Amino acid sequence: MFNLKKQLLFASLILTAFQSYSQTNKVTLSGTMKDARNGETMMAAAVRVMELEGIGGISNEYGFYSVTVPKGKYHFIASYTGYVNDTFELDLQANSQHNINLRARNTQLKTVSIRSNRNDDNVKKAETGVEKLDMKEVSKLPVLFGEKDVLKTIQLLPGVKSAGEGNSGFFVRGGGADQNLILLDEAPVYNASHLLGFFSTFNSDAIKDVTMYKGTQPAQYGGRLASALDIRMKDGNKSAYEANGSIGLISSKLSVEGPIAKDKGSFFISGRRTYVDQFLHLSSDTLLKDSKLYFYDLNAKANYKFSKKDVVYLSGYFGRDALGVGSQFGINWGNATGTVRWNHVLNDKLFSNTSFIYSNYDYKISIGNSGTTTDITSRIRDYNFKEEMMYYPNSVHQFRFGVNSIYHELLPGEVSSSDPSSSINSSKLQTRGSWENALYVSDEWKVNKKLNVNMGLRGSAFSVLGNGDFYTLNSNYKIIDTIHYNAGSIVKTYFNIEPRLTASYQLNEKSSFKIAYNRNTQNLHLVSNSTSTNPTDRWIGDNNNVKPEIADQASMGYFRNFKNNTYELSAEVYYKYMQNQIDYKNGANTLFNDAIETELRSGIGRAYGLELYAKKKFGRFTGWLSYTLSRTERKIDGINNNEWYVAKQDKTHDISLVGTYDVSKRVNVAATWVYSTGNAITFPSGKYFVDNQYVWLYTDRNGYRMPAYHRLDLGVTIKMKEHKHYNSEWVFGVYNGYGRENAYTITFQQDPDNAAKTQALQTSLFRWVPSISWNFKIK
Amino acid sequence: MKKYLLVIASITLLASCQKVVTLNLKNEDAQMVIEGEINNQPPPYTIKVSKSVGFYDDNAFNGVSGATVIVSDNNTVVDTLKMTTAGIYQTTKITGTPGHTYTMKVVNDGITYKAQSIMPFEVTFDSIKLLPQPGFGGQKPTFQLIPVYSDPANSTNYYRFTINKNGEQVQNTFIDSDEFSNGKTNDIPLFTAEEFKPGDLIELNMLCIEYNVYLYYFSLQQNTSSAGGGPNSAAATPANPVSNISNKALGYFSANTKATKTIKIR
Repeated sequence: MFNLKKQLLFASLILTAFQSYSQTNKVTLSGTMKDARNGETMMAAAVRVMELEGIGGISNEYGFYSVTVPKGKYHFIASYTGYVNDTFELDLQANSQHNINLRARNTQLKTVSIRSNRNDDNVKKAETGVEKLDMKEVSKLPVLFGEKDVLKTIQLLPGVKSAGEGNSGFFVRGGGADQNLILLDEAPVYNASHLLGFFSTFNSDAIKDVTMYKGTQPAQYGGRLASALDIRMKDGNKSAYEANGSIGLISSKLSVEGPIAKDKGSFFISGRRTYVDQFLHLSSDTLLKDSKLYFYDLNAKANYKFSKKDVVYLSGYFGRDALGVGSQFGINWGNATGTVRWNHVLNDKLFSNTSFIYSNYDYKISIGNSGTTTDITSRIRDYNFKEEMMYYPNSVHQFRFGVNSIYHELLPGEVSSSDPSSSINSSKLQTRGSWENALYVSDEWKVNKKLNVNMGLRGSAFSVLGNGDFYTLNSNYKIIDTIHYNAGSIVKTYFNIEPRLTASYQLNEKSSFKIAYNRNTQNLHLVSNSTSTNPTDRWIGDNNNVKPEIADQASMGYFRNFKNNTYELSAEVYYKYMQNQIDYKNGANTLFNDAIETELRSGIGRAYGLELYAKKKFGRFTGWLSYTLSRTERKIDGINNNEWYVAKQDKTHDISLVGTYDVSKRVNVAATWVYSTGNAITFPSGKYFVDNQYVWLYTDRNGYRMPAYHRLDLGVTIKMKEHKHYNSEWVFGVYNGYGRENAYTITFQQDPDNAAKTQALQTSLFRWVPSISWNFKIK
Repeated sequence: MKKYLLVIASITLLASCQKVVTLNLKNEDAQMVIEGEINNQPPPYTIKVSKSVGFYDDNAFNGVSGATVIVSDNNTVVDTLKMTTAGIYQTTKITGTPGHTYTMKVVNDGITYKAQSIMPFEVTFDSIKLLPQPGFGGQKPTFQLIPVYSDPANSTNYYRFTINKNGEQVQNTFIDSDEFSNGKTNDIPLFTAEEFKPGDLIELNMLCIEYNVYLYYFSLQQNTSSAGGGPNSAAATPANPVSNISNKALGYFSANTKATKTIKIR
């Protein structure tokens, strides 16, 4: 009932807002922005009216734009970085449609770093803590094994830290790996890594666009504390068929795209598979021969324009990892997502997007033993409905409002044995259901020439559902009562109101000052006892004991451009306070525990930092330098004597230096250098003798640091001669070019040469890892 | 597990390298360590009282002399232990009996450390079964050890195993609970990197332990498997094992049954 009242209040607020902005003597121009070469819709491209300063529009995620002006004759300029401006003249006496096709610049300038609709967007827009990746740039930077990876490129940006050597996991502004909302075509991806974290689930060939919000996400994003990473798949070439592929050291990729019906629709399919395990089959050793270690991905998308006003998109992802040793041990895991999306232009000012989304993550561990196999499975599954409207009443306001409803189904674990006579009994933990709802509204408001404001409000409700047994705990976390709830009954509902505000004030043409405040909440939690994501980490929802995580973040920044927007500079500071943070207690029984809350402890967290960023956007040389100074701490009940301790993801200094240089039209060289303070870690402060063996004595949680980490990667891209129907390029790279022995782990052991001593042993992974790949395009 | 790691290493084409590093580790004040076991074998039983040493100190049992150590059996027999050598205290009166409650009290430097443990009823240790493993890289087959016993269905049981190979204790923690195998006859081998080959003399001890002691070993196992962790270590934030002794003493006090079987591998 409470929820319904809030919904009504929201609705009436929205309606009043609309009525006050309805105007009569104005006309609206709307349409779709596309890449002239392949018909891909363009997000964040700009249209400006030459005669009216400060009036214009920006295309949304689906390329739709809308500009409202007084009746009259105007010159319009459409622009997008790396594309030739399109100027056109229109006499607007009534609402009209005009689709814009922009042509990529066929010069070396084609390769630009950060895409933005206008080159000074970073200064002018009411956005802070936002990073956009250009896929062309991602493809140039050297990476481990030559496997292009957006999640690794993102780690080079200020405020984003790597989860470890060669790892695709990342931490944003002191948040944990599970506090990142990773969306692939709107579908949440619950485990975004392959092969123990060395690769991400995102095949860079299939990705069109990547945007990351570092805790400053607008109201349409919800459910995670630290960040929202919005990844969009390519739609496919609308005018001609083409194939792109890549053959690399450890994987190969192929994608095919083309029109379904000319200018009506297109499709895109991309696949990737690693094949290191194929070499294993050549081994004469039976155990190696029967071992498995591979992953594959499949991305597919199709869109079709049913009318001038309706476009339907279907997109899907399926990926799987398999790792196994003989018949004794195996684990396979993967994500599957699917999105059906319907864009509908209701009128020149109102755009609607309706989505049905499915996502699934599961893993299965198989243990073979004397001819019988025992399987352990776990799964998280979402059914998700979203309806969003974008309303462009005039050139001053841009509204976005919507509703989102998700049913989560979590199966924490099930053990089953292939042979009933084996010593393992089949058993299953309770499947948990929950229903997450959200309503939101936001307004991007140009208050005046100097002040831009983006304000939003998100209301979220998370209902814990039966069927199942729920536990009442006493202050010692012991179960004192068990209550059974039937299917369909609500155990508990948590409501949260999340205000979001960003404002930018233009100091002059070249510089601005921005502030932001965000409240984010999170109802699904990943409980993990390892520093990065493991396939077997367990997702749990809120319940009567586990409460929603809440983060309040305040940030401000100064942005300045130089030399006609060729250089950009920014400085941002943030402070974040987090409530209901959870961690395992010491010695927690994490595996297969139904009442997992008895093993969890909760507390608070705080994170603060300074992010500096300098970038050169155009020219033969492009690149950036980013520096982050930060601190992240936790205070959890029962851990570290209830005192503040630094979180494992805390790294005081974090530096990335990235550069690419066009040596000639065909040759590009690139280099990245990273440095970071070692992460906080718990080392022993002594030892003692129990059961005829040494046991390490631990004192402060995370009281030590791993050694500092630094690395230089180098890459060269050589374009081969262009042919009418195909062209290709070679990409060479070296990871860790000066062979720094970075500590991957430090373990403690008996000194093998001296029975009286114990020692610390450092393991380093990749040094001088070369890579080579050949990319081709057939058109 | 060794093989499993080897496979991963060879696959990732890593030129991974290891080196010994010297860390600047804090030298904390020595902390109290108590290790006590009362079992159903003939007495005497031993309680060890010691203090921790610095990480870079020599490996030595740092025994504590002059502590008062008292164990009582069902609160009827009170046994004040005698020190034999520094830190080693032995019982003189009690005989371990399943079902009895044992209370330990250690007083040292004016601080009292207490613990209580109930000896579980014994589950019969039937035999040792050898599970042959295919040789790795054309080597001769090795064996894994299966302790054969039938778990009683009407109770919750916790087990601990220790292995002596040719007179030397295998440095692993082996524990099991009947959570997934209640009422079943065990056919799961003890997982260890240690290889058992023809010619080896194996002594296998099976201990029925109570939950608090199981929890101690469970948390010990998490911490020792790969302490100081990289991303994939068992516990990224290791902590001291959960002790059943009061006043933050390290170690444990366990009343448990103990049965031993030996086998010579041929």
